[in-house]
Amino acid sequence: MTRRLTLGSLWAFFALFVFVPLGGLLLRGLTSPALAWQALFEPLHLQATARTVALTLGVTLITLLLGVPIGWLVGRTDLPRARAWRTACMLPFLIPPYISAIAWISLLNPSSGLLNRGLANLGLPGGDIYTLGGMIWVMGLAYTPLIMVATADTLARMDASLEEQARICGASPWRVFSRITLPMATPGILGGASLVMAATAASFGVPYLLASGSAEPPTVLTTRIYQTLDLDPATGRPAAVALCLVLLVLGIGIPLLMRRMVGRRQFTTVTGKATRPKPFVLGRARRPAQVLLGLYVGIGVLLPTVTILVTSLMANFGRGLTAANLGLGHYRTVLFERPETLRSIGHSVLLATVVAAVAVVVGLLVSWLADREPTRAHRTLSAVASLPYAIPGTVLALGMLLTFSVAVRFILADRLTVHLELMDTLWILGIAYLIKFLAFPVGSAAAGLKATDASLEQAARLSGATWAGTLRRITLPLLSADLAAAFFLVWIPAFSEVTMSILLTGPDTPVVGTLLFHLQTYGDPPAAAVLAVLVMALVLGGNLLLRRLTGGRLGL
Amino acid sequence: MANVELKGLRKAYGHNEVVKGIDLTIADGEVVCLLGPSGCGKTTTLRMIAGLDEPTGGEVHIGGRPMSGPGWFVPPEERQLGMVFQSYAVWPHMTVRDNVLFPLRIGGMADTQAQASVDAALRRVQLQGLDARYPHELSGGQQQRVAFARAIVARPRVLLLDEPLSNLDAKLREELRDELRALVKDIGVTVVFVTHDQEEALTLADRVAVMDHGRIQQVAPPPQLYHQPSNALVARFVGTLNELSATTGPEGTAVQGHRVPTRPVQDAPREGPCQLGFRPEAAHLHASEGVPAVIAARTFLGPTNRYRLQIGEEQVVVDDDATFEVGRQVHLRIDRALTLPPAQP
Repeated sequence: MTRRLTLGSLWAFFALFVFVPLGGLLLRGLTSPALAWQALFEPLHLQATARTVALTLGVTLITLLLGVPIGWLVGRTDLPRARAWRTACMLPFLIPPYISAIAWISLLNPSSGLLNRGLANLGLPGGDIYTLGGMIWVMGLAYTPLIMVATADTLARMDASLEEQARICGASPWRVFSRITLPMATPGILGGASLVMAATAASFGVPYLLASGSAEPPTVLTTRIYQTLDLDPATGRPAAVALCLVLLVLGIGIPLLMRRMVGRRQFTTVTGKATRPKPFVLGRARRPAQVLLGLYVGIGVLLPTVTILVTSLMANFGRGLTAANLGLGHYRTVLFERPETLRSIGHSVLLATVVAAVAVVVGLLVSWLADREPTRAHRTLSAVASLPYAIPGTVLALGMLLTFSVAVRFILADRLTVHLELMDTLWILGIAYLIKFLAFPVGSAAAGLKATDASLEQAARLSGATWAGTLRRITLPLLSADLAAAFFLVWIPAFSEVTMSILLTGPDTPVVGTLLFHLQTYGDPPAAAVLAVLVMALVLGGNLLLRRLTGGRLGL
Repeated sequence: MANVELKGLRKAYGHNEVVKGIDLTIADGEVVCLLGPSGCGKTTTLRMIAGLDEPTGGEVHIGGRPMSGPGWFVPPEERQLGMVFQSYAVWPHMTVRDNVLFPLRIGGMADTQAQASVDAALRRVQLQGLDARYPHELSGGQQQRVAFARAIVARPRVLLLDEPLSNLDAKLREELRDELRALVKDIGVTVVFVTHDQEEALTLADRVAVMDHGRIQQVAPPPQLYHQPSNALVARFVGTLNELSATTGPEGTAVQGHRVPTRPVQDAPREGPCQLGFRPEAAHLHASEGVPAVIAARTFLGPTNRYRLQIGEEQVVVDDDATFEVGRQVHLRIDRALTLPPAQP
């Protein structure tokens, strides 16, 4: 009985909050094709589409150029302290990209950027971060770790005898690398690249912030969707729907296609004893290699972090970097004197905590059913739970916006009337976060369940425990480490979420991300920097906890 | 083709020396096996011949040319060798043809000539017609053949095989073993191969070098290794060996007062307590003469019976055509045996 009720409510939840919003979105786009088609060919929209394509290609190129050599250096060479370097090179990925963007605005905005002022003093031309190139730069640095990890892991998994065989056949070390190692690592690296493409096409925070200070803002698809809705909710909707369909194609379709092509070439090998791959001897190249890694960590992590810290301490941002201009004044006003700050932090902490807890329970249920009773229905349920993570946040949020902008009322089983008025409440934010990040606990629980034998649970059933009782008293404790990790995997991105929040918050439900954007774009960078420091501290703290919980498998 | 000479070859990882001075000369066209338990240093020795591991001491010469020694080292790609790895190491991103073509392309051979050589090599390993396949479309045995074709296609001076048959199932292994033997003898290439499977070593090799703890214990043709092991370790490692506690003296070796014809190994004592070692087929059962024993178990093997005998506290295994019931009192007569050092307390 319990399980039929559980299953029923899970399906109802996904039907209401995944299928209806997304289905509605698709239907609206397809039922009025003329309108959608027309919207697509508006010059502004065409331009936005072209920019998203250029942004995605640019970021992918930068991440490949940086990530492949770094991954090879930390994964397959005799670089001293390679593990520590690998951890350090992961850091840029942990800082939310929009926080890096805020830092780079402080450094390279054309009027008063700290770096630009320094360059001007030296008589050198400065840079302008409010451009497409600026976006590519910031996101390229942020997503490089995805390629680095893909490269390093692929190289580490490779059977060393495949390379040794080529040496025996007469190939020099360089030819072995170009003819054997690189071609075999390509599917893994392209897998990482498809993640970068999906993340870049769907990104909202960085393009939004880096368009905010420009007279001719380089608008991309996600920010264009936001603009059309923001300017005129009624007339903007058909255009937003049409743009969402384009975004779905670019953000999911192309990466998926790439993975499929790569997947067909996925190389399986018969391995006997796995010979440990022999590290490549760097020799005299060791010093330049360390310089390259140091530069990446310095520019990707240290520089933005220090900039944010300095900006948060500057009493007056326009006045420049002097001892007299530094102080903790903004911390006092932002954290203690402004009620909206405290309210936003309170909302974000509450949402992240509740959503993470619920996500862990739902994730466990879904994965348990898919792993222990792998019927078609149960596996579909687990796929449905993991799917929204791949959908751009802007699309998810728009779907919910369209569905729940009016009160929804329906009758259940002839007598229960359900009345949903979600707009402008914390509920709609919580539901959006839950749907988007559910994939993490589903994955964590699935991995944990795979490692725990089903007989442990069957023994409990034979001892007289019910299904629910077994789940609570045997499965839950056995998987506690995985589930605790899953909690933080949800908590961290939920706390700092922006993309969906900006479309779904109401006047009374600000969260940390939306407030931060508000402060940054309406001319109070030091206050924004204070919040950014807070977000960074919590995100890094959460990652350290995650690392402890998983014994180093996940997190920082 | 070429001979291989190892002189005082050593390899240490930090303070852990895994190969402790190996001297071995392998003649041109000879098939030599390095046999030993895992961790005995046999694979490391093979990898040092290949140039995949750099020795920490001693010298390697191939075809009279120095390959490695104090202060000099020829990298693997300049040694003109062929090698088959335990994992086969067939490149998954290349077709069968491209795999086999690789050494020739690297060697700069003209294309028409190279293609002809590939065809010949594939014919030799009976893979003709499969050349457009990718490795994941092949069975384990077929991948092994690809690895073999690739190893011989460039006419290497020496062929190195690292546990070449251990990933195959038993039936296929036996089939390929005979094929392999015929093939290398047909090409006439010098072969050094490594295995922990004594049956593989005894059937394939002209000479077997038994290794343990980083040293060669004995190098000899298979029959000599089986019948005249030079020490207890080799005797115990090669074939099935029964052991009984015995005493030895100037008159010979005896078990419970029964004299047995024996051959002492190198480390056997001259006088006092010792172990008597004998093969199951080097003894038989008798109704009244020999060491008294009780039949503990009998296994019917077809041509013969294998008996497990209880002799006091000890048990031995003996093959005999005659049929005796389990539990019966019999006598054991040992025809040929070895005198071994006493068992460690």
